[in-house]
Amino acid sequence: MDHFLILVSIFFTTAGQLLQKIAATKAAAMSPKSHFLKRILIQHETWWAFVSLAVGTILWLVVLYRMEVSKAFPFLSIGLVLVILVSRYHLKEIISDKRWVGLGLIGTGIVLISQS
Amino acid sequence: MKNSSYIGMVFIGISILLSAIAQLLMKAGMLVLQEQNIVLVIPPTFDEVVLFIPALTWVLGGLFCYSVSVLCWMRALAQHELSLAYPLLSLSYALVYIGAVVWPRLNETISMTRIAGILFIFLGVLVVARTGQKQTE
Repeated sequence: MDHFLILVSIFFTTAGQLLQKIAATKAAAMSPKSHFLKRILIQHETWWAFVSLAVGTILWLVVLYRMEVSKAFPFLSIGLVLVILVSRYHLKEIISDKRWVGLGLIGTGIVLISQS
Repeated sequence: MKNSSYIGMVFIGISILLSAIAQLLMKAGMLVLQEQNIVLVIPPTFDEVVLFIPALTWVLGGLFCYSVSVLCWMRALAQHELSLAYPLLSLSYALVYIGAVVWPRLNETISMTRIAGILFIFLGVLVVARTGQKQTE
């Protein structure tokens, strides 16, 4: 149950981060005449990012209620693994051998922490 | 150009620090709930909501740090590639761990397995980010 909660929370948090990146890129490409904060806030991705992060955060609080933060927090690195796997299987990007090694290291770390 | 890149790094630093503090404050809030022996029920009654106030104060403090961290992060992302920013973000795992062990309010257990796990994750994020950099160059 704890691990399932973590996964759902990470799903929303990761989606929020991807939306942030899209919004930040769009805002950076706009004319620098207006303030950056203003350019960020008019991107609708920014608001969806906040919604997604809010849902992820509420679920995360439930996770923190149930386990130690030093154990729960490193699980967030699963988000990075998710992004890479999505780009591999959805966007058909090629993942280099080195990158698989990196994913293996992250996976090893997550397994170690889940056993601690 | 050099100067703006430096400012970007400062934003990454502030973002990492605040994201770690946010986690510790949120955990502190949840600990208050546990000490009060309140079971999380949705939706809560009015009396339960009043009991939530001390815990909520910690959590809101955490969420405030989290929001400022997110804004700093977005500001930094406009200047730096994810391949530089992401491995630095994984430094916050170490900060959260140190904070959770050192802060008496949380007083979490010291575990060699957990430290090893954090090191593996940090190395992994570093390797992943470095390969990303080569592909985009």
